[in-house]
Amino acid sequence: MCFTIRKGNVSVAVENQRISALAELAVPAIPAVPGRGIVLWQRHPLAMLNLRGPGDRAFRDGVRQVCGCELPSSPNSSNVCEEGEILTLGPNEWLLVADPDTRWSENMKIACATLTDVSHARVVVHVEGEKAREMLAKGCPVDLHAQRFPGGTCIQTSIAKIGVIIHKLHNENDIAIYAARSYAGSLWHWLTASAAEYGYHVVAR
Amino acid sequence: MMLIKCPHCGARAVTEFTYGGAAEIARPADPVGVSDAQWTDYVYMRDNPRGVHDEVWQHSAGCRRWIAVRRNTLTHDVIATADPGKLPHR
Repeated sequence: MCFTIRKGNVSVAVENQRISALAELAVPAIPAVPGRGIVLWQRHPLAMLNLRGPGDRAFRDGVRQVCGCELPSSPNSSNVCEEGEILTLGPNEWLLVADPDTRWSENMKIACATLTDVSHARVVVHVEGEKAREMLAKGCPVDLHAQRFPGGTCIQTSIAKIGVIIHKLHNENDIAIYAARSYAGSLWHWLTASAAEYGYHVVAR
Repeated sequence: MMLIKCPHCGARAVTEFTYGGAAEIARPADPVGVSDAQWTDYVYMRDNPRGVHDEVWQHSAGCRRWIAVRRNTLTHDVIATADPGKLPHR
């Protein structure tokens, strides 16, 4: 992704810097308690597209043909496919998540769709470990137990009053949290404070 | 914790929602023609029932949709939820 800046009278194309909002914070740390604990890692950089559309049959077919990925069929769910992931945000709203070199872009032509590139809008932190659910329950009003919240579930809610998307991956103990990047520092503070009693590692993936 | 069943997302904690006031307050069809008293009535005057009350809420931390909620103001029982204007008649 490139954009243009002006230097004097000359326009210069520069590579769009993907600097994480957690660049100074999510750095590998010594575990507070060795052994069993929480693993935190940041998924960065990512391409994210907000998709809005009617959600009817024709629209779903269009998305499948253009993106090569089926829209999730039920609320609070996601689809993971080769190109990336599609998360359900609401009855007419989805989030497409992929690696930055994805062929998905806001220029895709899907009938009746509105696509907006929101790659820079959010920070994504993964919380892993046996205690991940117990830890998140301290600040999240939604029951994340596997019976109510199986792998693949994706919801919008809040954690410690910060608006988030929670996506449980197919590994039961791997939970991705998407928050607005302006809340990254606040979310990180809460995550590390809440993980402290179990011990936590910050790892690079 | 009061749970509200969002028609799109399912049962969620009340902290995810924002209260939007009484449901089905009809805006005057002819805003220019109404008197100040009628306008004041529309903008400010609300019933304050002890019991069943139809309300609108926004699922502001979830799907961000506005929804209609029939709630008992005395017991906090949520009796029914639906898309706006779609609550069954009482």
